[in-house]
Formats: sequence, structure tokens, C-alpha cells
Amino acid sequence: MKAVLRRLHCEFRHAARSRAVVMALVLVVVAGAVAAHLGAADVADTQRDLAALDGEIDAQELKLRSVHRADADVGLIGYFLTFPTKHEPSPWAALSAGVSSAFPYSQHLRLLGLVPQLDSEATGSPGIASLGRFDLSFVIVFLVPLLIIALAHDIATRDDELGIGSLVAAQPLSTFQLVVERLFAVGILLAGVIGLLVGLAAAIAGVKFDHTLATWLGLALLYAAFWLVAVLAVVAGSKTSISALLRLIGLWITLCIVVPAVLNAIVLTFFPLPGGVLATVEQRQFMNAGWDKAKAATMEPFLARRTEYADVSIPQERFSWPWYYAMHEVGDQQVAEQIASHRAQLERRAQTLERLSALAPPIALQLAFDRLARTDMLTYLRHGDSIAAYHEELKGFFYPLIFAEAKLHSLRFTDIPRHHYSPPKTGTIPGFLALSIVAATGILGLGIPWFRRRLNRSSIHHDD
Amino acid sequence: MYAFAWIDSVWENDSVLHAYQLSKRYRQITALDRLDLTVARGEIFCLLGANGAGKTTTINLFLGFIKPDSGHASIDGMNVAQHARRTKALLAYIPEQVQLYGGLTGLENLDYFCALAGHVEYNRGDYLEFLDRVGLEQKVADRRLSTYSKGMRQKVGIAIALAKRAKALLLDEPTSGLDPAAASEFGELLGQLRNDGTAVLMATHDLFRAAEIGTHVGIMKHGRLVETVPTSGPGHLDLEKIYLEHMRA
Repeated sequence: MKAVLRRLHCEFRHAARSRAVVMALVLVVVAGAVAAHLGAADVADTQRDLAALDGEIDAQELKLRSVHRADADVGLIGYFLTFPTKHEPSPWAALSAGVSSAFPYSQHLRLLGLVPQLDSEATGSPGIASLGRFDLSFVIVFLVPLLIIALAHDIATRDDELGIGSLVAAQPLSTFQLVVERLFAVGILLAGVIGLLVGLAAAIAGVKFDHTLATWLGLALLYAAFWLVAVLAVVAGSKTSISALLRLIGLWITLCIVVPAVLNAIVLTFFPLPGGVLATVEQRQFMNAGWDKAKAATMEPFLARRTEYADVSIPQERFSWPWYYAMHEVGDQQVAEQIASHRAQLERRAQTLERLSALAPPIALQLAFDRLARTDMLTYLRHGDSIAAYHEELKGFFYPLIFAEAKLHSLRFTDIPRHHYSPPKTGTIPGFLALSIVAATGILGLGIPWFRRRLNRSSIHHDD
Repeated sequence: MYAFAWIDSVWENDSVLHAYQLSKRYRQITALDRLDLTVARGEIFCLLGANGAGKTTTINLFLGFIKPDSGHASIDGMNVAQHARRTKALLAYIPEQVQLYGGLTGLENLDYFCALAGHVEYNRGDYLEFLDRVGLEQKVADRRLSTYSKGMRQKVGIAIALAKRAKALLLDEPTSGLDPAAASEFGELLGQLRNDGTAVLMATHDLFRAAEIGTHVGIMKHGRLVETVPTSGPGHLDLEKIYLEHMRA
């Protein structure tokens, strides 16, 4: 054991003497700190923007009361009013932005049809889109493997290439043991770098040092372990450092770029999604056609759903606000099934992607980080649900006033419902996301006896 | 003529390196052909021969780098092919080009190779002492190896052998490329090791150096040890004559 510790010490000394190694370590730490800083600034901006929304309805009241007469219809006021929605970001979103850029943290909802406001963006597969955003998760998912490759690609061949191979081989230590010890030394270095990265980022982002942090750290270390075993597998089959390097870069490209693209293609092919745009167009066309139809053509389907307004008399020959809002709602109803299936499909895509991530640890880790940061696709689907519920709540507040032809002077702005969606500060990760990384590491680990034979045979070492 | 007398004498001593009917073929080429060889404690056995005579193959078989097709090599009574790791613990090796880690100092290289060999009992003072014994002062020992000459690197190699307390030292063309002074100094260091009881097996082309520092010279040709000559017997010129006779035959 003492000898192993002494050799590890020597490996660290060796690494410390290499400018390239020191530079690579520093670069990754700096990249992580910068990413965390950018993420924290982003979340702070979002929180500031969200805080600024608090007085927005009050500000609109002042403006509307100054512009409109007190006896203006609430229907008219409702047309101009916008209702800010708020999705409180988790502080962890600073470290893993996930799909947040595809889904705004706030929007100004109107009392009109919901579909054009909520589902107009045709989202392809935001789960995949989350890969590549420069945040701490990007640094860990993409840059840390490159660091591992840079540090460890030559652990089996560097002695031969330095002309020391025979001198090292003459020592009573098998190549496999030497390589594993060197890999362990790289692992310790990496654990230090990852610990520093996560700790630094947590401090910058202002997140608590709690079990979530431990989960982050654990997942990152597990992921590093996967890459270390992958390096062992590759170096065991490589005769030179350059061939090992090229193979490892190839593996990185495959796992981090090609496989996600293929999975994306699979998801897009097997879970087709016409997108919300088509539904929006249909909603708009149906709604606009209402202008040319008899009022009854709009009111009948509306009243079938909202029987409480059956007794309200709608003027047939002129514009009225109850009819106008009914027209929007009926437009939404017209595409309700499409929208439900659109959202269900989005959810299926997200779930399928999580399952397929077993094939690519980088995706599994990214999705797990997104889950922990509550920036994952499912969170945003729930956010959409909360906006739909809020829209319904707004209608519940305004419709009685609109259908009663209430006037502005009777509208109490303070009673207007406010939206605030706050998912739990941190999410849980489905076990299979972590398990997929464990499984990938384990599957590679099964090859260790082969790696051992290969390493000891390929060199001039021989075991007892 | 000299060979049998020498073999008889070493059997009576404690032999460290022993080859018995050791053979190695590379496809159709016989690199080593039924080699019988013994090197006892305190002996320096120099293998002389042309390129391809089997000198390096012999060294590699003792190192366990390659496995014999027949016969066996043993170190301190242990079969190398069966106990490569254990036998490696008993030997030190200095290749033709001692290329250590250029980014580490001489002392750190010594520390690293001692750690590889499982020797963790030494401290800085011990390492400095080993290096001092081979003629490397402290200020040199603390310099990066990339600044060392070939002769200085060879000395670090000897220091590794000293620190390893090796029973056997295997050298493959160690004086090739050394200037005469450095080669002479190297010979003196080997003499010290011999006096300490180390068995030394050295492959070389340098007939005169072999005669000077060796206790025995073995002449190899086409993978066979054709003659073994104790250096106490013939002088340099006689040895050269014997060697050339074999080469011309």
C-alpha cells in the first residue's frame, strides 16, 4: 500500500511538472467558474425581471383608468390587459440551464385564446437542444471527458514513447497495475477538479450545500468514472498514444455528438409532432371565421361548455364582448384535442429521450442535471399546464363581469388572480438516469480482465 | 577450453543468473540456440558478439520481456518465465539509452523507480547518498534530467540498481556512445557493484572494455555461446585474437 501511495505521489509530481496538464486543469476550472458566473447572472436577471412584474397589473390599472372612462366595459379593459406569468427559476438553473431558453420564465398572457399564446412555438425536441448550452453542466458533460482524455490517453504508452519502456518494464510491476494506478491518479485529480468546480459553482450561484449538491457531485464523479473506464478500454487496445487519442476523441464525438443526434432523429421519427403552429393557425382561422357567421354558431358550442351563461342575451346584430371572448374560447376548443395530443407527444418525447439516454451517458447526465435544476422538459410542460390553469382562472374571474356587462369602475384590479409557478427548488432524478451511467460503466468494467490480458501481453511485461 | 573450467568453478559459487539450454526462435531465425550460462555473485560476464549474435535476446530472456521456446533462464534459482515479477524484483537493468523522465530531477527519477520497484524505505538523504556514490552531487541530483548527459543518465541507472539492492544487473550496450572518460568511470562503478556481490551480465561490442571490466567474456555467434574466456587469463590482444578467430570461422 505504501508503495502504491508513493507511486501516486510520483504521478502527481509528474503531472504538476507538465505545463500542459496544469493548463488543462486550470482551463477547465476557469471555464466552470465562468459558466457558473454567467448562469448565476442569468438567473439573477430573470429574478429581477420577475420581481419587476409584481407591480405590472397595478401600473396597467393606473393607465387604463386614465385612458378609459369609468363606464367602459370590462370586456374592453380585458382586451387591453396583460397578465404576467412567473416561473420562478431554481438557483440550480444557474448551473444547468436545460431547455429554459426554449421556454421563457415569464410571458404576458391575455384573456384571448390560449392556444396562440402558449403553443405557437413548434418545439422539435428541446430535451436534445439542452445539450451544448455553456453552463456548468456543459463543462462537466463535455469538457471534463476531454480533460480525462488529455490526461490519460498516454498512460499505457508514454513510457515506450519516451524511450523508458524497457526500464519501466524491468520493474516488478505489471503494465495493467501501472496503468490502473495512473488512471487512479488521474481519477483523484479529476475528483479534485470536479469537487472544486461544483463547490465553486455552488458558491457563485448561491445554492445551498445540501443533498442536491451531493447528488450533483456524485453524478459528476460517476460520469468521470465511466470515462476513466472507457479510457482504460481504449488504451488497452491502442499501441501508440496518438492512436489512443484519436480513438478517444472518436468516442467523445460519438457519445457527445453523434448519439444525441441519432437519438434526436429516432425521437423525431417515432414521435412525430406537427407542432403547435398548425393548431394555432387552425384556431385562428376557426376563430376569425366566426366574424362572418351568425352569433349562434359561436355561442352554442360555448354555452354547451359554460351553461352558467345560458340565460345571457347576446345581441345578434352587433359586436358584444361576451360573444368576442366566446369566439376565442371556441377557437381554443376547436383544437383542444390536437393541443392535448401535442402536449402528450411532447411528454412522450421527453420520457423516451430519458429512456434512450441509457445509450449515451452524456445525455443521461445532462438530463439528470436538468432534472435537479428543474430546467428539464417535463418541468416546462408542467409550467405550461400551470399557465393553462391560470388562463382558466382568469376567465373564471372576468367572464362573470363581462357577461354581466360590468363597467371599469366596478373592476377591482387587486382581486385579479396572479400567476406564480414555483417548482420545487430541486427536482429528483429518475433512478434510470443514474443507473444508465452505472450500467455503461459496469458494461465497460466487464472487459477489465480482457484489458488486463491485453495490456500485459501487448507490452514487454509478463505477469507471474 | 576455458569454458568448462569456468562452469565448474561457478557451480561451486552461488550462481545468480543461470541459463539452461535457453533457446529462442523468431519464425525461421534462431536468435538463441541452447545457451548454457551462469553468472555468480561478484562476477561481471560480458557477452561479446556481432549484431544478431543473440546478446540482447539473452538479456531480454533474463528480463522476462520474451519467453523462451525451450530451456529456461533463472535468477537466484527462480524461473524467469514462471515468476517474471518476482525475478524482476531481484534485478536491475540499464539499456543502451537510459531515457528517464526529463521533467523530473535525477533524485525524483530515482524516487519514482524505487517506488515502481516497491522500495519505499528511502528518504531524500538516502537518495542523495546513492547518487553521490555514483558521482552525482546534490546540486546535480536536484537538476532536471533533461539537462543530463548520457553518462550522467547512466549513473542514475546505476543508482537505481544500487537502491534496488539488485542481486543481478543486466546491461545492454551501456557504454555505447559514452566518451572514454565516462566509459571508464562507468566501468569503475560496475567494479563497485561487483565488489558488493552483484552478478553483472553485460552485452557489448566493446572488446577492450569487456576485457577491462569483465571477469568473464562470452563470445556469441549465431545465437550460440561459442566460447567463454576468463579475463584473468588472456590479455586484450589474445582476447581479440580469439574473438576474431570465431568471427572468421
